[in-house]
Amino acid sequence: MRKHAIILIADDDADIRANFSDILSDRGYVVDVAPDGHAALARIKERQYDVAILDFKMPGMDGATLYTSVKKMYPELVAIMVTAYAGSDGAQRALDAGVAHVLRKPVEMSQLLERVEDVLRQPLLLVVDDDQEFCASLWQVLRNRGYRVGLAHDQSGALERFDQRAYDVALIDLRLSPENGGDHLFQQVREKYPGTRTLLITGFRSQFQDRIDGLVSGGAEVFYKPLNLDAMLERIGQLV
Amino acid sequence: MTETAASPADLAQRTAQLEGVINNAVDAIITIDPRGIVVAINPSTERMFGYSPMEVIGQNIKMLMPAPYAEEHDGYLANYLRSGQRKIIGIGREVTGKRKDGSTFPMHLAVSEASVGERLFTGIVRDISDLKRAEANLARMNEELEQRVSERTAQLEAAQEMLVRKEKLAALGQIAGGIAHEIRNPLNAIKTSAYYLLNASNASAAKVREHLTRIDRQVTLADNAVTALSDFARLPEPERKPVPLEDLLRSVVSSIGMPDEIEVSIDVPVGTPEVFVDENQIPIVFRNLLRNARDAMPEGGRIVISAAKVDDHVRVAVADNGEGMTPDVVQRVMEPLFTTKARGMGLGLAISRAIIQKHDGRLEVASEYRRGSTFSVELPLGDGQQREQL
Repeated sequence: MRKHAIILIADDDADIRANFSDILSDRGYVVDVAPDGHAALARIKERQYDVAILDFKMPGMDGATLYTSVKKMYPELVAIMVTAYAGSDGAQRALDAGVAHVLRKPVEMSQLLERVEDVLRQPLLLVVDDDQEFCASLWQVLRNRGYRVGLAHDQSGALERFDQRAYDVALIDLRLSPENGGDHLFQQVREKYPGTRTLLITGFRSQFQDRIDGLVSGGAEVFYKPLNLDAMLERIGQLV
Repeated sequence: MTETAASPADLAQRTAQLEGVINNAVDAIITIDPRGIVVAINPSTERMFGYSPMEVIGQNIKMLMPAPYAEEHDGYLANYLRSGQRKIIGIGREVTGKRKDGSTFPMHLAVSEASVGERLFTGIVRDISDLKRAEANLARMNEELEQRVSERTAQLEAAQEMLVRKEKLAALGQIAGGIAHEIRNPLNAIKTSAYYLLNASNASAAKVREHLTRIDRQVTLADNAVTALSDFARLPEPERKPVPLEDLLRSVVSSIGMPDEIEVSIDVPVGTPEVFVDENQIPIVFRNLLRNARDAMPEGGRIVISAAKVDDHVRVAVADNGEGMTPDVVQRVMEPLFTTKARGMGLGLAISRAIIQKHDGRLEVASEYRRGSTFSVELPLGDGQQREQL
């Protein structure tokens, strides 16, 4: 966890923005506010927020739609949605999109603060794989297990992420690109970000056997596709 | 046929023919004398009543009738012979017959009188048990049908009642949903301000004041939402009086915060008569129309308010060149609690329409998606002015 977690509040009601901001600031969080979805997206492009508290009903873009865009840009940002209509289609849509919690207005502030603290305690993972569908399903599985999950699809994207955030565990696909394999990235991460534990994933046991053997003898841990999820989740649990 | 020309041979042949007809008739044919004594029966009589000719001929006809008709028959016959008053003779009617085994059956009896040397009465009897059974069946089926119809009607009535109840519930749900947003948002602000005041570790006096002011303001907002809904539910009758239209429109326009990017023009032709309206209610309508027009033009635009006298009313159009509406939105736009805005309960146009209807006018909308919308209001003229025009 960072020293000062950064929280974004998106709500079209100025009074609510001010209240959430006052309460969270008083708790020692760094708070930014946005009056609508577009402003929220602009903020997220500039800053690595830990948590976003989104209102559902906002002009221009509702909270569920906003989160769908947020997730594409920055999937490790955990969102909590606030709505006057819990149990509505909008609330369900938000949960389906991956919003962590939906709270009904009037919000029980102690509950909201508890949720925020829970989220901030969740370990931060990065999945590096060029297969976007694989990433999407792994994201969901890991989210459900209580991890915050970032995604990168190539080596440069991954290095950018490592520059921005301190990940607890990185899951790296060995065959990232023909010229720059995941093993290269793996070595770099090991050298530059020793705080991050790394697990390798590969679907090509025979072709890369020599490379894999080399990595393993150097201390790398490898999981083969199709993934034994239980084994991998257990190992992640040990690492964090 | 006449008997004068009949030869003995012809007579014998005719007698045989008649006997053949009588003996083969499906109906029972029974002949009695004026005292009621049976003088002849045909074979159908035997089949129908179960007696042999020997058992019946020479006996009183009442043996073929159940009580109490049997007892009354002698009296009927005597009465007829005395008064000539016919109860059955030459008429025919439904009566009850009694078989040898004592069982009874419905029968149709037609009695004719003939004088062939002596006075004789001939009864032609048809067993109508089958007919009666069919009738009874039909009656029962009818009754069943009636029963089913009334059952089905009751079911349909129950279903309709349920539908009405469901519709009421749906309307209630819609209202609850509409209110939820407008009440829970203020409650949310109030509750979070209260939380801050109770829990903040270092709240300055200015912060405390800010939150108390916020609570106060948000209570007013929640109250306004409830007031708007109850006002809509019981809109008062308009108190009409002549009002100069242009003044009314100008004061409404100046009461609304318009951004600089929106230009508003008012065109009321010189000579437009005063409108006969409630001067408190009609501004609500135009305020709603102008706010909607403003909200439909986030990038700015032009609102044109124009009036024209048409027949016995003045038609005022509020046109914008904003976002416009899709046909499905146009269709629902005046429904209470329908809104496309993030803020607002969706009562503005519904209230406006209700007000205009109470003024015996109409509120109409024409809209083109991405081009703009025009709302037209018909306002009545005062009685005096209408007469002047005539």
